Amino acid sequence: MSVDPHTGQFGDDTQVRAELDNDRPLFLQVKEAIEEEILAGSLGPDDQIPSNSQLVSLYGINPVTVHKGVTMLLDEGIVYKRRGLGMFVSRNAPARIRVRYQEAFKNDYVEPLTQRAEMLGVTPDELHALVDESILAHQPPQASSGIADSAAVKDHTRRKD
Amino acid sequence: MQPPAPSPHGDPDPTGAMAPPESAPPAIELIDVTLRYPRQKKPALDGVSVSIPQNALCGLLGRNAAGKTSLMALLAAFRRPTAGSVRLWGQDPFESPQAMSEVAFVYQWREEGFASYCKPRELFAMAAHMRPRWDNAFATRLAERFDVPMRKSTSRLSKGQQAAVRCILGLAARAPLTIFDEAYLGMDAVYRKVFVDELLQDYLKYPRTILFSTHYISEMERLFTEALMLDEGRVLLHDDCDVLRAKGMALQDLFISLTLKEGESYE
Repeated sequence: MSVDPHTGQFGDDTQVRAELDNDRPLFLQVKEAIEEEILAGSLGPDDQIPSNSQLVSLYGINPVTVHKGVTMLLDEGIVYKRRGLGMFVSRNAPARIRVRYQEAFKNDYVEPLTQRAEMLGVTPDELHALVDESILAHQPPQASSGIADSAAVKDHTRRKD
Repeated sequence: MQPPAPSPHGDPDPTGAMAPPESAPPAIELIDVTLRYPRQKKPALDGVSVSIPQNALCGLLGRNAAGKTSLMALLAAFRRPTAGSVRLWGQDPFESPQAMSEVAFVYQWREEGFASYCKPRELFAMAAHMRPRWDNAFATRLAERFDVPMRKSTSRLSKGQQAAVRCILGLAARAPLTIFDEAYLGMDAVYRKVFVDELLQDYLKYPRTILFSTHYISEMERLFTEALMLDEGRVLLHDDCDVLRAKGMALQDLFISLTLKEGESYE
């Protein structure tokens, strides 16, 4: 992530999205960018979120809009304020954001996917296979070795039989 | 991150509250303003009524000859309206000594104008006398950042450096109403970004009303809290930028769709 070095710095593991679209309200995009970080775990409970000044610098947008986005997070209880210090992630924020994003998941991701598949002539079976393939590809190495282990165990039990 | 320095507009909340009190008069108020120039058939401004709150960052957008500079000249009290009234913080700025020091108008100098014979450091020294909130350390730091030679006449500087001098005069004045009329014209893309960054960081510490005309809409639109669009001397639209974006259109596209004349095309 690129932040102007003279204006401030983020923790190395913080990767707030630095690109905004001009055709959606900016304050919403600022709010969502921080929520995405909380969802991804790069901002954990009781972590400090970037200051307004850092967000202004990062996005090159006016402070009024940044303030509006951060105030919305505060009003929804996603962050809490420590006077003179800044804003921090609430304990229950990750769970609450996950629930809200799960509700939007069908409309935002699944519906467009099935519509697109239909348009391209991808059959339901092919779509299922593609989704399974993608899930497997994204599984962390430990999980796949877990599958191998359980297969080995199964093998072992079978041999025992 | 350093905490913001104390502000003349009250102790800034680190969370960034910069809204003026509800009762504050608007920074800018035009009531049914018309401006005609001699020997011109069409008025430059035609029945303009608009109110801009204190500490707004307002983008003034319009095609060539839409009336942007005329409107700005009225606010800077360079001219008086033919009809209607102009109010800054509830007062008529024309021939008001207070308005003179409280309004900074940054515009393109004429080639042979007075400023072109001065060196940047002389212009800064004059500004220090005329501007009660002038911050010389800020001006000097900006001059270094923009690589402005301080001891050369401005007429001998590059277009970009001249633009930087104008922008520095506007920023370091910290005037409660700062008007930038295509101020950065001639600056390259990197310097324009530096300018916007410096403006925003300084605004955080010293909130003030800023009116900013530009033709680089897509580049500058994130700077604005509100947009005022003029067309042929009339107000075409005036709204909060995020309210406009909520309609699913970038400011630039909205502007083009609203101001395209019959027979014109834009790809």
